[in-house]
Amino acid sequence: MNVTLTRLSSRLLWSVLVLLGTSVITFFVAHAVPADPARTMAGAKADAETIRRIRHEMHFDEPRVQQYGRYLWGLAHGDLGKSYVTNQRVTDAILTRLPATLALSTMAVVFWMLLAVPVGVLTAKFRDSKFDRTVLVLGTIGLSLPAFWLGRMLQYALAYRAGYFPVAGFRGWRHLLLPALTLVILFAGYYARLIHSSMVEVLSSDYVRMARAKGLSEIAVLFRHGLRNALIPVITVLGMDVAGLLGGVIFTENVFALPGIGTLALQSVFNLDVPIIMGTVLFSAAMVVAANLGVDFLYHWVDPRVKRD
Amino acid sequence: MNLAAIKSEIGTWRNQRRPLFGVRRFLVSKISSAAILSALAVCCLGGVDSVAGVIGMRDPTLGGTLRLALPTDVRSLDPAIAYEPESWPFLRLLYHGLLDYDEDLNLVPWQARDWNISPDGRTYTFHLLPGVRFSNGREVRAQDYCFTLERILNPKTKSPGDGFFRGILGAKEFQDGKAPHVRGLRSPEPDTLVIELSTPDLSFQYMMAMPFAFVVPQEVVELYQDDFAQHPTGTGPYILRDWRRGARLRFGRNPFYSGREISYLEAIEVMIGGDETLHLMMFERGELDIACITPAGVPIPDFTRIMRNPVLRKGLEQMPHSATWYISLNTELPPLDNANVRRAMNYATDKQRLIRLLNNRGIPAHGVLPPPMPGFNTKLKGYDYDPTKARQLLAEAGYAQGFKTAIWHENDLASSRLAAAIKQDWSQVGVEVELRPAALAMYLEAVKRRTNAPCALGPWFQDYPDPSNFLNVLFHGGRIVDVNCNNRAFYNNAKVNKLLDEAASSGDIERRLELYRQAEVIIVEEAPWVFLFHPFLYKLSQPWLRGPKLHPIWPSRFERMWIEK
Amino acid sequence: MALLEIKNLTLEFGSSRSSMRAVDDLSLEVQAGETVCMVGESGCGKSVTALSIAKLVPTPPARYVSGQILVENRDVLRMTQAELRTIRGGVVSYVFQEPGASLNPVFRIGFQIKESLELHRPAAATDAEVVRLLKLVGIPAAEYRIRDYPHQLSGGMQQRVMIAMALASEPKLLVADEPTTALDVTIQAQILDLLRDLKKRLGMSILLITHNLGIVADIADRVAVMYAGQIVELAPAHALLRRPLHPYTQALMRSIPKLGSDEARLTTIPGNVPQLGAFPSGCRFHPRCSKAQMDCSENSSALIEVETGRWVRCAYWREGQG
Repeated sequence: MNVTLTRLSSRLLWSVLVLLGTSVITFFVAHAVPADPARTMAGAKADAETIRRIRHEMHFDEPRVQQYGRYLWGLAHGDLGKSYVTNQRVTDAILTRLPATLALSTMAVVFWMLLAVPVGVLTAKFRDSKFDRTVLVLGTIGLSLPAFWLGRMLQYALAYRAGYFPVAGFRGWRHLLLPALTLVILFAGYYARLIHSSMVEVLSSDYVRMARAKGLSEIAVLFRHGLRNALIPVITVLGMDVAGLLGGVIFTENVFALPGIGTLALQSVFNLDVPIIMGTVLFSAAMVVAANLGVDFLYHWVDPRVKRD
Repeated sequence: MNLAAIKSEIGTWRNQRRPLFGVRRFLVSKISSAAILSALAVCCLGGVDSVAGVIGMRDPTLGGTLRLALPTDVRSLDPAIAYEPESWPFLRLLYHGLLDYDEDLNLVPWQARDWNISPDGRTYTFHLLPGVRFSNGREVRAQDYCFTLERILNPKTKSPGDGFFRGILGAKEFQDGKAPHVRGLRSPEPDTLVIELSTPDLSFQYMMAMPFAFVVPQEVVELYQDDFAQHPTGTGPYILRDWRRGARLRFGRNPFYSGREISYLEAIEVMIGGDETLHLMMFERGELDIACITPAGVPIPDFTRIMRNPVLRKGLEQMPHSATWYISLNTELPPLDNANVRRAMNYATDKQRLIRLLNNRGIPAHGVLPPPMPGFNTKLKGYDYDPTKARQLLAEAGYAQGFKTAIWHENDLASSRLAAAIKQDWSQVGVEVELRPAALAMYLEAVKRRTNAPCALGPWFQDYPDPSNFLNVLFHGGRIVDVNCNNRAFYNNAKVNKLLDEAASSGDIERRLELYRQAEVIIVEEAPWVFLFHPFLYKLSQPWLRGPKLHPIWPSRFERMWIEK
Repeated sequence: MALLEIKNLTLEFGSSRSSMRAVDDLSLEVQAGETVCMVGESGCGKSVTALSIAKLVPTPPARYVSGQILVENRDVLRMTQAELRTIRGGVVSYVFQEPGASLNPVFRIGFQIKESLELHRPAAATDAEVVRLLKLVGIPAAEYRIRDYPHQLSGGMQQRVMIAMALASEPKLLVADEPTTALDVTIQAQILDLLRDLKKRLGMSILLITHNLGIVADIADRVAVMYAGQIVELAPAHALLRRPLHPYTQALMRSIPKLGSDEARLTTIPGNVPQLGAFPSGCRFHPRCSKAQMDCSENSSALIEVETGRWVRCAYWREGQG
């Protein structure tokens, strides 16, 4: 148990360093853009005097490094600053956007896994059949489609022309169906293929033969003995993809006007709203780091063979 | 109509919601069928053009939710801070002020009983309407207006509008921290507000009609400080029910509203996100009541399709917008320091073609001021499209071979299209143009900086209907600064400066307009701009949405709309 | 009635154009309570035959051309999936060569044993029974070990667990495919002791596949020697070991190194095991047979009972004596 603790703390330390590094790079890159945040706050028509006063109030006339220092100080106290554009606390901005992204991500992951798992298992069992080959082609098409285009096409055909779904916005769970469908089409094929490859390997193993020899039903053989092992490598990939989704599904959220972290990030870049840019990038980085940690520990729990060192 | 009766009407309605609505609906349907029959009868008897015109005279119905969409979140619902055209209609729902515009753009008292300007143009006196309450129930006093205006001037508020109110006596001392209050703001009686200016300024009245001057309650501002924008408390007919930042806005009725106009709508819901194409799609599927509440109204690529569709076309309203599209020519950067070169660029630009590129949604500009502006000079000839003359002028100026330059513009669809066409026009006369598209923040950084951008393409929208809003802000030499300069041509003509100063401080309306007219003539003649065109304003709404017509300053007055079902 | 009767089993791999016969017209019986060993070099078809008993050979690559496998007088090859599942574990249990690979790495061993119990003896599916089985196969501290994962056990332990798992369903026939090959010699002896012990106590039939004649001596009642998909000699164990009749068996016996002998080199059988699909004509062993005659390359012999209970597939077996 002590070993786990030291591992955990060393991993945490690395994670903090990663996040710090991310914040430095983002901060200086964002400030390298030649635009005056004071003017963003003042608006297009404000005059020089107004802008000068705002610059002073917001400490923009201080040297960069000092400004970064201020930011870091705030960060240490859990204060991510306030948006230049809306004056909302950055933490609030991110937290209020999180539900939409979270809801969409959860729905998408659940649906695509529900689709990918049986398809992956069955195409492995019935390898090289017509079913297997069809799935391969469809899956390759699915993951090659550009997200933005796919979203728009689905929106145009199924919502605008046919009216089966609402066009955009987020008033209820029904508004998540079409964006989730976009993500499912993009990811399900890839995951079905992943599970397929993993399953093929697993199905040729001795313990699967043993399971059959014990007299287990084919379902139990496939899904209890087979899938359990086949999913192990898939979990790492899934963890990273979930982290990516939570960081904001920028294209899909944008097309369907979902008020999630993706749209927040996009808008902040157009407005050059540095605190929000910092916030969303750090949040995204934190998600990836957390996913890494999570997957690592999940691995130990899921695969008893992996030694804790 | 009796104010008390209306209030009790609303009260009863609110208490008895559904049944009353049902009864009303029943009555309305009965009345409407009667109306249709009688209208038909009248038609048959001859003399009426359209049945629709007769039916439109039905009584407005109470209730219903107006559904709108915005591409990006409103920045703030604090009247001291919000300065975008998108946020003003919503500010107007929540807050009211002393003065408003009528349909003919005259200033009329709003939440004031009456008002006057002293003969020397330096003192404004307002008498407040009695019984006006904030949405927290407290009655408004003149002291609240003093607080509101002082707040704008306070550097801590970071208000983008403080420039409009710096003319108040004592403003500078207050802003520099030398005085605790602004001397020129006084409330001798609870219902009397007196504002003294440091110099006479007839345009100040317009400032009082801007949302900056909409009254806010002191105790609420002091309670919430920076969070006041999340807890708007005003004297308008609606209150903020819900604001999910970046997601949606919801407005409901203000129970303490005591204004003259009835607010028919029960609620207003705004979805935030998506672009105008998306909103148009939603509108066509009936998910929105107004397609786009931005001045463009309809996305450019869909405009022709909308116009060809007889059903949609009926919901489209149009009027000239008080705005001018222009290219500012940096008079401090050669060769644009040469007036002949600038005039040549004017002759080289085919304005009609530009308007056609935007689906004919505008008229060519012959000067600076747009048509709805008082003082608009119909006699200005401006510059017609004449590439031969352009080449001739360039040769005279010594640029027969042409020259290289760059045009900065925002990277939205309209600007990009215009810039590309202008580049073509100018290349015909030998001027090689490098286009510099940029996001708004970067665009402003570049064009408002001295000796940086040679040419900048963009629109200028009116804040208030007075020529000073264009001429003083954009062409006064005294306003040139190194960064954040609004005089983007960096134009400095001593004669013009003198005319502008004289006009600004003149107390005689006719004289002002005359002086501005003279200034504009010189400006057009010296061509620090290429004067492009004045766009139209559009609004596309569903057939069941009724309300006042488009207004140049307040295009969307939601609080006066109603839904007919 | 024999517990297991393999009758004329023929199994092929590949398409009908280029087929390879892995098992050619093979017949074998196992009686109740009897231990039969199948001996042969790698690739002779013994494993495939063993797996066929519960129809565990995947039939896209393989094809059952003809024959029957009767378990308790029912033909396995013609059973439905549901019927097969009652046979598997319930009547026939398997123990495989690599115990580590045959145990599912993500499940605890107690769970895996219980799985067998739940399938075939649900009333006894308790931790207590699992512990009893583990004790039966000689696992110390069994109460704690049921929560272990396979990788936490040594090779020998894992094999014992597999045996316990096989026994959990109380099968009538235990098929063990090279159960000790992957273990070191001392552990081998322990496992064999265990099997012998279980055989005595439970009266179970065992079909044990091996290439090790020493094991045959240790545990077999009867032996079947396979070569290139066919049984070449079938006899009671000690009779075969004392007096092998088929040249191949004799060669195998000779190649066992003897302690205390003075021979400088090991005797080997010259040549290689023929590849599937490239069998020699006539008798399949003739290219490597020291007793081969002229017509061995043309005529192949059938399996003939030359003495009571002794079957040989060789025309010149008599010559081999002595």
